[in-house]
Amino acid sequence: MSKLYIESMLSEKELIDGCARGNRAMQKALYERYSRKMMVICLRYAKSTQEAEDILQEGFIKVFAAIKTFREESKLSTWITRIMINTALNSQRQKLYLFPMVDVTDAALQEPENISLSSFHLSELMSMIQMLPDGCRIVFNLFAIEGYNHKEIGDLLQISEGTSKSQYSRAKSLLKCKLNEKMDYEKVRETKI
Amino acid sequence: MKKSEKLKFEEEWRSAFEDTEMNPSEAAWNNLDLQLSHQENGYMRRRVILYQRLIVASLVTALLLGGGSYWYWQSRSSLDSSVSELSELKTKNAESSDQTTSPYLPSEPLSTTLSTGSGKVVIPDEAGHSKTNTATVDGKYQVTQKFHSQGFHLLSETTHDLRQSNEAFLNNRKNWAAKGSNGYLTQWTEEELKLSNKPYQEVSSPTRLPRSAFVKVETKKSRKESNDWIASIGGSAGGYSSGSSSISSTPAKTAFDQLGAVNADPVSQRESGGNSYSVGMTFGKKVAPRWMLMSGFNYMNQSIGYNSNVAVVDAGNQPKAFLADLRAESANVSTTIPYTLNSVNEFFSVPLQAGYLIINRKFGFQLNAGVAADFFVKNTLADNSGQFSSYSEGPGSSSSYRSLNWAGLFGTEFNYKVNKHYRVSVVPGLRYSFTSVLKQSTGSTLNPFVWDIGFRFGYIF
Repeated sequence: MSKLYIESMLSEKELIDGCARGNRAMQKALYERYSRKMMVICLRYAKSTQEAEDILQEGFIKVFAAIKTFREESKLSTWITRIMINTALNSQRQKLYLFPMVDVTDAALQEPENISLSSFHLSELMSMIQMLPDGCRIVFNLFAIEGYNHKEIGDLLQISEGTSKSQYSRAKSLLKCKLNEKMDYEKVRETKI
Repeated sequence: MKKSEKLKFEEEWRSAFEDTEMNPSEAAWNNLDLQLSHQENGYMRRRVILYQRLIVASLVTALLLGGGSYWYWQSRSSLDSSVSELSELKTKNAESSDQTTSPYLPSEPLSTTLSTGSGKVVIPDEAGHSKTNTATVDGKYQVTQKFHSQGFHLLSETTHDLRQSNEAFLNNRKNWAAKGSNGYLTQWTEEELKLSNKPYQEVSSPTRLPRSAFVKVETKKSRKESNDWIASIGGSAGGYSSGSSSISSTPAKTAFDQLGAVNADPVSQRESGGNSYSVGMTFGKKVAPRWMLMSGFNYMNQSIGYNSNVAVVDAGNQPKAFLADLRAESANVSTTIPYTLNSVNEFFSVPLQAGYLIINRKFGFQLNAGVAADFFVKNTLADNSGQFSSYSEGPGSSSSYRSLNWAGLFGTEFNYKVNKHYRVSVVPGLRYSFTSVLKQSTGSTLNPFVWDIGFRFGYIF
């Protein structure tokens, strides 16, 4: 049997116990199992792939250090996801300190019509999110994808609930504009063909 | 836009990223692997350092305990020999002054008392390592003897009236055995009976209680905290050795009949072991990441026993306990029947010590070394039997004691940081006086060596 197959056969409990003992093979198996999923999360919060990998690396260090305290009250993947999000937020805090989020009132931004994302590739959606300003990107991730409400986001980022709402509104508008542009571009290309 | 449409937007994004995966680069795991290795190495290095420090701490503790035990047993053997010497001296004095009526000897021979009484001998434990034989006479006197299983004489003790008449007791015991009044007596062999050829003495092993070397130190300090200062109070107690037992002899000035004066040389024989304790306050300052400088002030009390046949009579014609060691130019010194007295030296001590923090965590361990200036306060000589009044002497040019003595200090400190500001410590320590407490003009030397265990309660600023 191949090494990868054996690693995939390991139970969650075996992985946790192995990592708690500091077994490097078990740590690698855990990393192999969850790193791809966590990479998506890190990419959503980061501006670049390199920055995302830094967050991923720091996040797994924290996971291995704290896995002894994991009490199995939630799924392991949920616990690791929470650590990754917190690590990503910590890495963004300095930026938020330098460029604090403020209420945004952009009259020029109109609520565009509803757009389906099914026609977009994951990498396209990812690059759209990464192009958002730092504050907008974090609030958008937390609200739209992680499912936090604005009060919780305000508490997490130490901003007001209104600021969170306005940042999200701006992110949403910017994304819809990008989506529309992309769709228009595709329509023109199809017409030419 | 309707609310449902708004929610649909978020739902679209959420489902777009649901169960999605992207491969990180190979370098990501390599970097992570490298970082984990660095962490493990650091952890192992810290553990090795911790173990090294624990080994050093164990060695120092073992040395301290070994040293203390050595001094303890040495003082025990010295005490045994001093008791024998005192007994011989006492017998000699009694023989040389057989015409003198001594108030300390029984008024009638003990053999008479015993022969008229009803004897009872009990051997409670024959199977054990020792036997205890008790003879009760008229329900008034009781004689107890303890023998080792191999016949070695360990301890014999009697009531005061029977103390100097072991030979009489043995004779009587033989008589009882011959009369068959008690079957147990037949179990005593001649060899066992011969073993008790020393006068019965009530021997009490020296009580060893501690002293102190007041050092207060810091244990665990957070790197970012500014808790460089610590103040502590505490005390310590332990054993005190004069180095070796000494016998001093000086010519007597005058003989006084009322003291029961005997025709013998003045002799003061110091026991090799005594007690010491101290209380005080200590201040410490962290001068480097692992170095502490400490000082403070202590009251120190050192007591030791003497066997003396010297007494002094003051201007009020009051006889007082005295030592042949001491100078008494203007006082009248006389020899008398040997008696035991307790000599207590009191000092005000100012130590200065440096401490090295070997373990600086919640539990801490450090080594301390330094010097102390001991200012002599007072010496008191107290007769244990109460026959003579106490004699006191302070510092000064006419005193037999030096006003200032220098001592070397060495010790360890085990401490526990209770919280950010408080900590408790156990401080085993050694103290040795470089300079003799007695002046050179007395012709005697006294260099106290103290080993003790202290307890401190400290406040960290």
